[in-house]
Amino acid sequence: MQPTIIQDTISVAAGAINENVIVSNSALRGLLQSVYPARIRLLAVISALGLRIDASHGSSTFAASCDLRVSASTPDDPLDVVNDQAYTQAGEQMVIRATNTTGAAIELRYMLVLEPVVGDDWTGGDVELPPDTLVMQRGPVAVAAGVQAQQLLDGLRFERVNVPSILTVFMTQSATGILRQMLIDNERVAPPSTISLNNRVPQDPFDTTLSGIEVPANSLQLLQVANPTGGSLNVFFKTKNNQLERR
Amino acid sequence: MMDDKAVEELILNVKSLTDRMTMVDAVLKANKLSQETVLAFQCSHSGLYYPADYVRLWGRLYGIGLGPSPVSESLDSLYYTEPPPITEAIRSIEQIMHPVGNSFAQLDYMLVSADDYNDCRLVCAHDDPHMEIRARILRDKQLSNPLSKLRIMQVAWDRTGR
Repeated sequence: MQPTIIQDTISVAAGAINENVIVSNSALRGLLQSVYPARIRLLAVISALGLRIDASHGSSTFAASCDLRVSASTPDDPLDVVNDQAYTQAGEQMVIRATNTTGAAIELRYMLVLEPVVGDDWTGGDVELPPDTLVMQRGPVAVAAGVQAQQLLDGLRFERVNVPSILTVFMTQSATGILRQMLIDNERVAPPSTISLNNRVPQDPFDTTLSGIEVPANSLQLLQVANPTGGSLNVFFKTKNNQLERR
Repeated sequence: MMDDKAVEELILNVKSLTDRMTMVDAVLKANKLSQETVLAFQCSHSGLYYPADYVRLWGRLYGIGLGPSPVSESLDSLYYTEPPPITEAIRSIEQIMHPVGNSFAQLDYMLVSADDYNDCRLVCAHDDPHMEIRARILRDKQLSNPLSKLRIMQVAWDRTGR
């Protein structure tokens, strides 16, 4: 079985929402549904800041409100991977929703790869699949001067995950000064520490700041930053929760 | 004549580029002769200027999200990508334009007259965080560019009577 690769460049209007960028290109409509159980790899970049995407297969979101790296080129593999560990059954619909909050149209360049996890002997129907990894990716997030503990995940979709998971965190800052710490349900798992100075959405694995953190089901993940400098700074982060059970 | 604060800022801005202070001397000398001269950074793509503290405050005030090395924030129209379609969700034709993208062009530092600098300044992202001012400027350029499809879409919009 061959993988399905959808790669496109589309424009999202100023101040508009595109409910599914895949159908913006009529030639790709036939690829909306996965024809076999598959592993999903999503890569994406944008032409200017201000465009955010959500990605789901069927009724399961695997990338929530993700900001993307600004690039003048196509997505780099594997650096611009948003999520490469989500799994879909046959027949589920792929949705990539794009929201543009700016006053200008912005270009989204994405690649969606479906790699079959069954062989030629598959006769149809659902198969047992690994659990999805859940990804949130944000930035720039402004951190005002003198802030002691700003919770970056406050109110976001995967701030709590309802099954046990292993957490990996990637972070960068726009200029020197940010300190980050991590707490799981008020237990500090990582003390204040500096992060990578790359001034862009983090890339896996170069901007890894924390990995292998065990997160019990429904625990509150507190990713806090402090800015002891005299000026506002910006931080970029990505969280990956590798779920240990399939929901 | 430059006051002490302006001189101090000039020195800081030059030190973010080089240890040689010849540019500081040149600016002070020109200002003494009433030829108001400023340090500026020129975008190699647009030819327009950024403020003197652009490199010093990269990642703090300028270039947020554009990587660790200072480059131009200037926006370019991407004519090879079609404008978004006019759907029911579009409230105004102003939302429709060719997409824009950061040019990532090279920056060159130079001394220019204050008049030239003021006439040819770029709008920085921190002055226009939602790209409203820059979108207006670029959209006007797109309407007159022969590569653009905006004029056709404007006609289509007018025909819908919306």
